Amino acid sequence: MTDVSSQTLSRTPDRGKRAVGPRATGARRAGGVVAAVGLVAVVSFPSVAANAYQVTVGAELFMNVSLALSLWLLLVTGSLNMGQVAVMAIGAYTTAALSVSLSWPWWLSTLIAVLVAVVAGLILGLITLRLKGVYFFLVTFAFLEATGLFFSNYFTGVFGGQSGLVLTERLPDLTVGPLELDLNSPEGEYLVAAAIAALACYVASRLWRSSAGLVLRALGGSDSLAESVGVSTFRHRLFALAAGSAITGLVGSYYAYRTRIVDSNDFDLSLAVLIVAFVVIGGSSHPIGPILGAVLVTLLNEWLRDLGSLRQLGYGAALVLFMLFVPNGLVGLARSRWRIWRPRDLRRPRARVSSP
Amino acid sequence: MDLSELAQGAASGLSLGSIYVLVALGLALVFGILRIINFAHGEFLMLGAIATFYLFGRDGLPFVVVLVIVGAAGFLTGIALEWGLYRRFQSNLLGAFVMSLGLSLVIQMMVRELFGVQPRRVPSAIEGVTRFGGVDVANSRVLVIVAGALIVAATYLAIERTQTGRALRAIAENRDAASLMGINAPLLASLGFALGTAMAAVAGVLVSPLFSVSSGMGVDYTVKAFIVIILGGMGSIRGAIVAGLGLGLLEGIGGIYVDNSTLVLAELVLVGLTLIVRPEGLAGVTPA
Repeated sequence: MTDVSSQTLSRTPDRGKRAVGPRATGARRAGGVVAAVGLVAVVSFPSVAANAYQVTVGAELFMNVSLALSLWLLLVTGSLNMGQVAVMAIGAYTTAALSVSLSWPWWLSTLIAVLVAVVAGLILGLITLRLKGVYFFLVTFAFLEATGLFFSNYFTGVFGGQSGLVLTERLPDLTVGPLELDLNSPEGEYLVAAAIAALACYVASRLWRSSAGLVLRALGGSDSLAESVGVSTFRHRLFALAAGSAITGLVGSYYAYRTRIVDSNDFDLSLAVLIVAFVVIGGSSHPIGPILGAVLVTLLNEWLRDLGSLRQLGYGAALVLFMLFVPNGLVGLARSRWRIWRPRDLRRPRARVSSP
Repeated sequence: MDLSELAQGAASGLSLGSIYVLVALGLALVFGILRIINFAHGEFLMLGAIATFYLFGRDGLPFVVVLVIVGAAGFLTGIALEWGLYRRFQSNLLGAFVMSLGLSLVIQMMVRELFGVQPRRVPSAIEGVTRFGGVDVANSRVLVIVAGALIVAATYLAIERTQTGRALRAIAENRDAASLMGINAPLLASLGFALGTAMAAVAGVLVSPLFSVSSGMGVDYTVKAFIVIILGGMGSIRGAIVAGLGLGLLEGIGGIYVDNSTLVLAELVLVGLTLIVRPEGLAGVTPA
């Protein structure tokens, strides 16, 4: 299938795909330095952390980043998938059930769980993505409710019913040459979660820079406009949903190993709202948005842990206030006020006779 | 099959269905006028129920008085919220949904601070039973059915037969054209929204003697309203009435044989099937 979208859209120089020119090289170098510094910071954090709990928070942070990015993949197109948490539950329960009932090894349970999650996402997408916006929200939300009910009340032998499943299996130790790491320790959790987040970031950034990513952004602007140039809105959304579901399923699967108890009450509306908060606060116009939002909210969450359930009120209020005053999140703010992450100006001529 | 048990199930189903119709109509009204989904809709029901707990249950005001007070308060709250908040999200479906998601949490948590986490009971509005063809039906259920029917009928007449109702329908169909015809769209939008809110609040009053009251009860009714609207069709009042009562009956009678979780799951599956087979819902009116 020829991608008509890229043919039509590339009549203007596609700066989004390949940044060229002296300024771009500089920007790329700067980006590379930032990435390298970031990598060093991330890897060394467990060593410099004050205690094990901080490392655990770090792991939590990476899981949240992955979840935020997954939701964001579809949210860019204007579709808010309220059923994402259900897919996470499916990933977690599948892994746990396979491990507990069939004693499958971790890598097999995880693999199957991710596959099941993608299939679930695809089924959800097939039913809902053809519907008008209103119905999409309602039905994905209904899917969330239905999944929760399903895991609490059906096949209780397999899924543990109201009390959930307890996972006794542990991940094996990671041996890299002379280094040995217990993956079940806080440092190990941190590393695995960071790896998952890295994968999520990679997928998100590849998608963002690809022609498919351009289409997704276009969908966020106007479905009919995108369709008028021959883009299949349905197929692109389905793809975004599938990619997001794969990551979410992976996160859910690892969640099972990390918390060792899989209880459907954990996969409820408040978790879904939290993830929405990540993306809304961070901003959805650039992949850095959900990452930023996840980091900030997770840290805030920890800082305000003593407030208990009042935090939920905070998230709700934050959602309302942000939608009113900062609808494009912090990234949007950065773009309009501080001119960071601005997309390159397509109108500027390519050739510049200036010193490099 | 025990006939009296079935009749009881039907009665409780009808009363529950009346509540569903009230809530769904309110939600549909908001959608029709502002083109947004208000996720916080069920919270107005919850607020109405909480108010009933205090005004009727604790302070002993007559039930009818509480109905009127809550209805008026719901109406005024709706006006304030529409004017101050929801108006900015007109036609912005995603934004309104996210905002109302947050608002729903805020309302729930604030009430929880005041009311506590534990569900509490509200005493019956009317004692005793009425005999319908050999079956005794609790009067509180009859009250809900009758009150619900009256309110729905009044709303239906207001929307279909009055000038203001016609203006509301005009706005729902095409806001700009209505404005061009001289209709004060912002004012009527407030009115319509407030009506929807008031209906939810009144539903809360009616439902509070039937089930226990808690800060988290609103979300379930929001979900049920969604289900009713999807099954009945978004643009249709008749569809909402049929679907709402039907859903209630399904739960009332089905509840005799299966547990609640299975019922809700079945409903959600039904919703999924409806959307695959007949997305316009029973009444077949697609949202504009």
